[in-house]
Parts: sequence; C-alpha cells; structure tokens
Amino acid sequence: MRLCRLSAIVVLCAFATPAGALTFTWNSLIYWLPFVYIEVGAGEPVATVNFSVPAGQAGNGVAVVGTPAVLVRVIGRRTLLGSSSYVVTVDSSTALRNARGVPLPLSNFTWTAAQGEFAAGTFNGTVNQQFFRYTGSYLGFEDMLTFRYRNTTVFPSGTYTGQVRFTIAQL
Amino acid sequence: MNLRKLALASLLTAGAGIPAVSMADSDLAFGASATATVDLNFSIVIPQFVYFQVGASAVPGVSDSVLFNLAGVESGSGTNVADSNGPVDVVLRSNAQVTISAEALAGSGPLAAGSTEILVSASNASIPVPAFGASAAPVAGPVNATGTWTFAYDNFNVYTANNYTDTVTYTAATP
Amino acid sequence: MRMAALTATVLLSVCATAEAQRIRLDDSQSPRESVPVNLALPADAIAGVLARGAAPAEQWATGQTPGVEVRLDTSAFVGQAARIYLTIPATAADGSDLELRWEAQGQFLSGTARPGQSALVFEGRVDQPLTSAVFNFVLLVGERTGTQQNRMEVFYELEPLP
Repeated sequence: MRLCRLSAIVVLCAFATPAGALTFTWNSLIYWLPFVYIEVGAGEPVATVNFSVPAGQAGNGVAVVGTPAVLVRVIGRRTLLGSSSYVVTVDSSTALRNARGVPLPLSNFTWTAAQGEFAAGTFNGTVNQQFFRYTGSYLGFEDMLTFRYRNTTVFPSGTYTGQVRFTIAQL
Repeated sequence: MNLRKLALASLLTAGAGIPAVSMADSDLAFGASATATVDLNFSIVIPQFVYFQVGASAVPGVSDSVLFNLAGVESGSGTNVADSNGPVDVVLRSNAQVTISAEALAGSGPLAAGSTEILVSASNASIPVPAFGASAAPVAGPVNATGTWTFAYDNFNVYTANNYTDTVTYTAATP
Repeated sequence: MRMAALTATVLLSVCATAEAQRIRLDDSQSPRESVPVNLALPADAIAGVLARGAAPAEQWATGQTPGVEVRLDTSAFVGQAARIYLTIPATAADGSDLELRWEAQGQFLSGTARPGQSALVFEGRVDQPLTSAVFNFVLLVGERTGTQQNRMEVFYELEPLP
C-alpha cells in the first residue's frame, strides 16, 4: 500500500504538468513614481497679470494692483509611504521691456497671498528666489496671489511686458 | 479644471513613459529629481505724463511776472536791465520726450512781435527756454528737473516812455 | 499497457477518496495565453492627486480585458460531475492590493480572487472534452504591488465530485 501511494504521487506528477497558464501583464504606472506639480493661473495658456498706471500717477508711490489675481497650486508626492521636502522658486531675472527696449525690473513688483498660504514678498531679480518651501507626504498647497506694482520710480511711458517663471523641485 | 483633469487622466496611464508634460499654465513632472515649471506673464501700461511749472506757484492759472523797470536808465542806451522779480522758477517732470514752445510776443514797443529786446537763459539744460514764437530742442524723457529762467532787457532801441505789458504762454508737449 | 492503465486508475481512485484533489487543467489551447492590461487611474483618483491635502491610503489602477476566451482540456473528465476553480498562485511580492474580477458566459460564474485564492467558476457535469468560456476580466492593481511586480498568472483546477 505504501509503495502504491508513492507510485501514485509519481504518477500524478507525471499527469499534472498541464501546459499553459493565463498570464496578465501590465506596465507600472508613471503615476507611482514621485512627481511634482505646479499650476499658476487657470484655464488659459500662460496667464497674464495686467497693470495700468492711471494717468498722472506715474511714479507717485501709490501702488497699482494687477489683475487678475492668480491661483498658485503646488503638489509634491514622493511615494505612497515617502515624505520629502519641496521648494518652489521664482526666476525674476529678466526685466520687463517696452517696445524701445527700456527695462523695467521686476523688483518693482510685490505679491500677497489671499489666505496667507504663501508668504508675501517682492521679486528680487534673481534666478532662484525662494517662494515657498515645505516638508510633507503628498500634500498640496494653493492660494490666490495678488501682484502690485510699487510705482515708486518714473519710467518712460509705454507698455512693458515679460515673464517670471515658477519652479517646484523635490529636495 | 475638468479639462485639465481629463487630460491628466490620459497621461497617467501605463506606457506613457516619463514625460515632463507642460500644459501652459500647469506642469507635471515624474521622477525623483524632476522639476516642474510654469511661466507667468506680466504686462504693465505706463501712460505719458508731463508736469510743467513756470513761476513760483504750482497753482494753475496763477502767473508770475517779469518786470523791467527803466527808471533812471536811458532807453536805448544798451545797458541791460535785470528782471526786478528775479529768476523764474521752472519745473519739468515727464516720462516722455518733451518739447517746450513759447508764444510769440504780441504787445507793442519793446514787446511787439519780432522784438529782440527780451533776453533769456536757462539754468538747467533739461528745461530749455525757447525763443518767442518758437520751440526749444526736445528733451528726452524721463525728466524730473527744476531750474530757473533768467530774463533780461537788452535796452538796444529807444522807446517812448510807457508801461508796456504782454503775456506769453509757454507749453510743454509730449508726442 | 493495460496493466499500467488499470494501476493508474486504481491509484487515482485511491487518491481521490483520500483527499478532494484538485487537478490543474491544461489551458494551452486557449487562443491567447498572454493578456496585456492597460492600467489607468479613475478621474476622481486624479482629482485626489490634485486636491490639496489629499493623501489617499491606496490608489487603485484598473484595467479591463474583455473577451478573453479560455479553453480547458477536460477530456479526462467527460461525463464527470465536477467543480472548476480559477486559482491565482500566491506571489512573492505583497499582493494584498492585487485583485482580479470577472464575469463569464454561460454556465461559468463571475467572481473575484486575489493571489493565493481560488474562486469557483463552474459546478456541474463536464460534457465536453474541451470546455471553453469567455471571460471579461478587470484587473485592479494598487501602488504597493504595482511598484514590485507587473505580471500575474492564473490557472484553472478541476475537482471531481462523487
């Protein structure tokens, strides 16, 4: 009987090698990688903040509010279980210019956040001025920024345009 | 917002690689050392302005006077007579190019049109004084200057004894 | 030969009564053995990604593979009352967030299973040497598993009934 059982096992093994197995394969989602996300402005290709200095007030020191206020939202995510530090910087190194090339440095502009989520500040004309910094696990921060033109200097008349660049990086 | 969510949904599927996707006003970047960037445009309109003051008073409509008193001086002797009221304060502020012009004389005698008896010099080249009925050379903006215009009476010709008066308006204009 | 067959039959009977043995079925005659799955996150999971303060415990990606035809070699069991199970072998990685769901045609039952589990998909009399069914599969993969493995095998087992 014992011999029979042993043989049975051998026999069954010989039988039990069926070919094939249904195999599911998938790619790892890039979503599962760490990511950083930043949003400035809403719903349009590159938002624009507009300022119009009232006639007769150029350089009189009364700040001019830019419109619209701009939503800034940042999210950093490392992995499901990982926490990390993130820094948001702003590059204001390129001055605005009018049609004749006259520069208007961005140090003439300040910002405030409606809910205080981001500290108020003034552009300092550098490439990587710290705008916001935090440490956390899968957090997002957002607030509406209002920009102001300080209007303390008389600049030649004209329309001055340019850009600032916001960057988020994981440290 | 919905459009953006759906667009992200299509990106976050398998096999999409590891792009740094920029959707104009937002950016999503994968990978431990990735950075995401977004630009923000600034546009500011600074209008032209000009502020021009001739005389001591900043109040519009109040004019200064230039006075030449020839009492005790022979008319036509050639001896110059200074402005009794002293140099005239002038102020010019503008963020654009400014051209100052003067009306022509329209009085009589020494203040008749075309008279060359009134001499004037400017202390500050940024606020040039034009000849009567003419414009000074344009001043490039921006300008924020104060100075004085000093008038004198040349006393070249002989004129009958009288009080001669005229008012000349100076204008500062931007293009 | 005949003696060997007899012996084999005897042995099988002995084993069948000793334990309710499940026999793995050959499915190599199925039209396809490899099922690639395109995973995607649902839109509201993405909203969670973009929402301030969102820290979801799990983010499950899903992928659908309808119309997978499975053909099982049941030639040894024609006329036999049996149960057929879909079995997912346990995986080395943490498969606690890996799940397969399906609906099937005809006599086959819909169900759900995770690695290390079996689910009953058929109970009745086997009347064909090749038993086939079409499955609409849905695969759910959580992040923990998704970052550790990207394949999963499935096989079918038959349990003869007395």
